[in-house]
Amino acid sequence: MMGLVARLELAHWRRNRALWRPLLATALAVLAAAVWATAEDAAQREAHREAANEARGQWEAQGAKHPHGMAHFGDFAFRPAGPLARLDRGVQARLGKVIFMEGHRQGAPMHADVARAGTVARFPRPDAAFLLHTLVPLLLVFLGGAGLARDRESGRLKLALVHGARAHAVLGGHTLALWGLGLALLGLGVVAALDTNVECGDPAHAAIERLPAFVVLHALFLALVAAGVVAATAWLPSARAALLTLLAAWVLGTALLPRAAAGVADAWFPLPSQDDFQAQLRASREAGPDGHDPRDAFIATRREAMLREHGVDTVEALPLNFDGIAMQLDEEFGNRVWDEHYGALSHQLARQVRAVSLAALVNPFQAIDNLSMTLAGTDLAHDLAFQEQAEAHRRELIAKLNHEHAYGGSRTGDWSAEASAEFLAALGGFTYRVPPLAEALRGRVAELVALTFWALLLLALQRRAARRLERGTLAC
Amino acid sequence: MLRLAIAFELRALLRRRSAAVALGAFLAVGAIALLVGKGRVTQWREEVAKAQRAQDESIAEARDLFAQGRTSPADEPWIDLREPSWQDTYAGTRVTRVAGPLAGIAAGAVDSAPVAFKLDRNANPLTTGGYRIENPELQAGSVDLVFVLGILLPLLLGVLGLEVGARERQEGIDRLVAIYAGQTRGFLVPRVVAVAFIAGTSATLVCVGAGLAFGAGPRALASLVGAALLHTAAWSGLLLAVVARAPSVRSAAFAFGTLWMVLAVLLPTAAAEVALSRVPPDFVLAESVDARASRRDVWEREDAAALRDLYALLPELRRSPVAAETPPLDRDRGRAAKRLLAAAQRVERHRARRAEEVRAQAVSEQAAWLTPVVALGLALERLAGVGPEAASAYREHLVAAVEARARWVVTKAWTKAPLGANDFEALIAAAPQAHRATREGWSAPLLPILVWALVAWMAALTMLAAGERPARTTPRDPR
Repeated sequence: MMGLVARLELAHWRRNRALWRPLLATALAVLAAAVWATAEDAAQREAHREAANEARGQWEAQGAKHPHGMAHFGDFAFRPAGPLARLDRGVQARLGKVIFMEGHRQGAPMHADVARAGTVARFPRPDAAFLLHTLVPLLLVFLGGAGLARDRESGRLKLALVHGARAHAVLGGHTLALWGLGLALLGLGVVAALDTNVECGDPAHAAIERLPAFVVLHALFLALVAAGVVAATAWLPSARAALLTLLAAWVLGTALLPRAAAGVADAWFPLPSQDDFQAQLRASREAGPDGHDPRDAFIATRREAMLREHGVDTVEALPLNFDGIAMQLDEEFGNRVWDEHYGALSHQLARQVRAVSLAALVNPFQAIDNLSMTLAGTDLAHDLAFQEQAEAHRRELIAKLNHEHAYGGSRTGDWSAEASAEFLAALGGFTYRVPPLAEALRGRVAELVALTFWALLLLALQRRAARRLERGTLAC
Repeated sequence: MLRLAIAFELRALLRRRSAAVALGAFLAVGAIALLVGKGRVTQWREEVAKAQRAQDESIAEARDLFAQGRTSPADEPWIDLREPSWQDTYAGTRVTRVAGPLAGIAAGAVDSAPVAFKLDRNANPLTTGGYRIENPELQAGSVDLVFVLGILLPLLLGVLGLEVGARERQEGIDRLVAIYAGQTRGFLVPRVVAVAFIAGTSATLVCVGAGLAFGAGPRALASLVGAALLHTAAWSGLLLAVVARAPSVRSAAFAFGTLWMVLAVLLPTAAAEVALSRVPPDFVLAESVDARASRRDVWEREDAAALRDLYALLPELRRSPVAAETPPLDRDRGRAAKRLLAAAQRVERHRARRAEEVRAQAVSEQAAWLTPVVALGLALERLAGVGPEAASAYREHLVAAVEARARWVVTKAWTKAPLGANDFEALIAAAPQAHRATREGWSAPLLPILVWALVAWMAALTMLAAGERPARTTPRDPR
């Protein structure tokens, strides 16, 4: 019976030419967004490779240089696109793309795309996920809002119930039809993205391990929307009331609640201003050793200890270059400072994200939006992982350069000794490792709970509506 | 008729819960937008005040040293205030950016420039970000007046006005009402105008609230209200076009919903896509990898080459007695000269970046013709003095200031004459003024909104007139 109702609904959509236009327009929009975003993503990946190669080429072209000179010459970490960025670009455009890594300081990401794109960059970018979270639910609202209402207004619903049809099968059929349509659009987006990826010659980045989770969670979301639409149409007395309620819910869920949640999170867990943060970093940093200052007290203490250890009177007599030791001392103190301050900042950012996640408990649109960008690897958590890995690489690079400075054969005060080109070339470039999916999803438990809860709640409401329709306590 | 329609719609507003709720929600979100904007402006002004204090403290410290006849603090003997580089450091110049009277109305704008910048010979304005550390997941959805007036106002118009005409048609009483009113236009147009009046009044209330909250003058406030009313006019024209033909409330909702989805959501996001896809996917190599190479090139440049480049920038140095010295580039002069050369490179890079920003902004200007929502956003950002254009203008101001400071250091380092308190005071007096964003071109995006309003109203009136034309019948046979 359920299948029959679903097929009838599909047949109605097929026969009603007035519905073709919105259906086709939505399908074309999803298709175009998936193809375009995938092509853009492939171009980004190619550009990423070229940028990394160019930076590496420049590093290697330096030849033999002083290790500390190379610590200031620095290296670059370029933020790669998320594994499923072709389906959901998340907040990528708002993230800095380049981190300059040099001695004495932790680099911050710079050059976000939105800063180079003009006024319209304040609006979100359309990709398959954006359309699946906004346009497709709206289409389901318009189609679903009319479907059951049509049966009710024409008396077909009453007739079907009188003839022994089960109300839950009728409601289930309508839900199934809407869900099927949503799934078809989801499939269209995913297949178009995969196909374009192959066409762009970039199949290595299919991110197959994340794709099933992306599809399953979006399928769950679309089921939730379909169930919600049918439940609202069954419970509310008229098609107009149902449509208005659903549209109000859509506006609330997609436009108002996410902004309200962001505002509340920002107010509850305020971030320091850029100047304040830098001032705090400077103040903490100045309390420690300065590798470039020979009169520094911390450095002096360590120098005395080394002189005693080696049984000599002057740093020049040391069998190593103390300047390299001083630089590493400076670096290690700096690292503790960066860990403390950047750690506190990351913690505060995470608290903001958690507050928004809690808001997602009442807003499934926000839940799927957050989950989707996490699965795509285009959320803040993935960016923070990138920053942490870049910083770890910087520390390792600078430590190796300082070690070469100290133990590479030069003596203290010798700023002309060069590390060999082979040594410098052997220092590897930065490579980003995408965090495992389970680790990424750990921060999105609230969203997973929210989606499941909403799906169950709406299905329960639908079931209850079906029972009341059968008992005649709900108008049919 | 209009007065009757307004009274009628106001009564309908009180009777219809959905309309009252929508109006209340609109005003509430408007109030939240003002609070968010107020918070941003307060933070902005605090940052400027802190920067000003830091500058004053630095200057006071130097003045104190001069007053004591000393050139360095007791615990930092290497400092020599007679040298231009130390005077530059102690001037502690902060180039600030003044928050305009309506800066809070576009809190969600993409603005990548700081509000206070520490100026010295080494400063690099091209690698600075905004004054706020922002969570990108929160930044993706900001409640500001651009959102309230651009996205929510059309929705409010829809909720208030979708039943106008469509309900009469749905209930089959449209002919009767038309007979009483004389024409369909006679009852439809005043009612849509009445709805526009209610929505426009709500928008005006929010704008006046913004003016009061941010302390805007009458001219700025009038501009804001004018933009909001023009936007209301454009969308009420579209509403009239929809209700002129819609056979039922549901089809009116579908048509207006589609229009809103296309004009307020899909076209702006498509414009964002175009603008962002035009950003070269090059990881800003010009300002990262290439900039590093040119910086190194400057610092490793042979003295003769550096001197040649320096003379090209400052030809007057060639005529000074120092030019005859061998070699004229000693350590201090060499470092000052290379800093100037690096600053000159930044000017070149900024020129390229500015050209890129202008090209990017052209997409927004073109998109303003596609949808009034983008046009309104553009107008309000210019009115507020925030956003990419304002950030770019401020950065240009900073790049020029840094280059001027680097020139000053080189010129002073060239003579080797010890500097005194008077030079220090002259340096402070010559510091660049705070930057004020101009409202230049803010009204240009209103033209597309005006065109939208005129076209929508004319189309709606034409559709209404066409609907009222008597059906052509076959002439009766005179026999």
